[in-house]
Amino acid sequence: MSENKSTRDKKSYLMDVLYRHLDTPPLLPDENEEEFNQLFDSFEDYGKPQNPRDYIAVYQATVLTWDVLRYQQMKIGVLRSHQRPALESLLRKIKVRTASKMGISEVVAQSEARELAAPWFKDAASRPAMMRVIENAGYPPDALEVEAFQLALPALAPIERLIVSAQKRLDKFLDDLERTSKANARALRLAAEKTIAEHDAAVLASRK
Amino acid sequence: MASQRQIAANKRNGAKSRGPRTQQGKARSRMNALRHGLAAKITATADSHASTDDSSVDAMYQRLRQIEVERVKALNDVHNLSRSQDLDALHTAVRRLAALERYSQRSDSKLRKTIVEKEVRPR
Repeated sequence: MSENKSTRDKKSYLMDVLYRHLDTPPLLPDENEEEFNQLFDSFEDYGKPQNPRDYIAVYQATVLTWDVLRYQQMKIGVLRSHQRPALESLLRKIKVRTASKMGISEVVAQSEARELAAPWFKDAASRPAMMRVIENAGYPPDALEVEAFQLALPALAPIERLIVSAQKRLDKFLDDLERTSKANARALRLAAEKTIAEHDAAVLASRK
Repeated sequence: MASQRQIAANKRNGAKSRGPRTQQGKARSRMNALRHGLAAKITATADSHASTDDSSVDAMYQRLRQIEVERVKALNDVHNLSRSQDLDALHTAVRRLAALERYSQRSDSKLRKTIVEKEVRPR
């Protein structure tokens, strides 16, 4: 079917909107524009967009997948930033327990805990000895991770909600696309799920 | 309790101003409660190169970009603060990011709907 001029203008205008999005993707200073464009290209290959609307859906799928990966990375960063306060908190609990028996004030116990925690982050060799102190006080070996998670919870909960929201929006875009092209939308959905799963696997591998 | 002199002064001061009277003053005070304008009604600007339909998409696109700029700023704050020891500031930045998500969602769905309508409806 041949297109008339107004249809062509309309399509080119929508494509122009998309190109403007692609020219300046919403990236952080340390994020790689090339990787973002590669993700878009791979989704384009899977989704095989036929019209500007499909292209916008592919772009949104890229942005939302990028967002999910970014939020997962953010969760790791937030947990890591709570490690020091978590260790200080654990040592403070241990110190306060012994301090009450020895008649030392809580403030002194707190400053002692801070001093004790410092070598953990300066010298990795000090960690086994510190872990023994924690375990001797009756805490399990994963007490530090648990304490960090508890302290980080006020920040982790909103990030988790952001991930769920981004995944829901991604589903909605793919549902929209599915109405016009079922096979392509299914391929795009699989590609997005694969990218997220690969990233999760890489994160798990790096933590081991 | 206010003295007679204070009551008189209050009356005098109260008579001085009853809010903005000029159009310019009214236009300015209209912006008093504006925080970031991300939830403000989108109005299409007149553009000689684009039709009314295109300028409404353009206005939405501009809004989305504005939100994206704010979101990237918030993301950057979270990123930087997660390397610092200022946990209160980190939690505040995460909450701000979550708040911006609402505006982003709303503008996204509006843009999508408009694009779908534009595709379906002939000019």
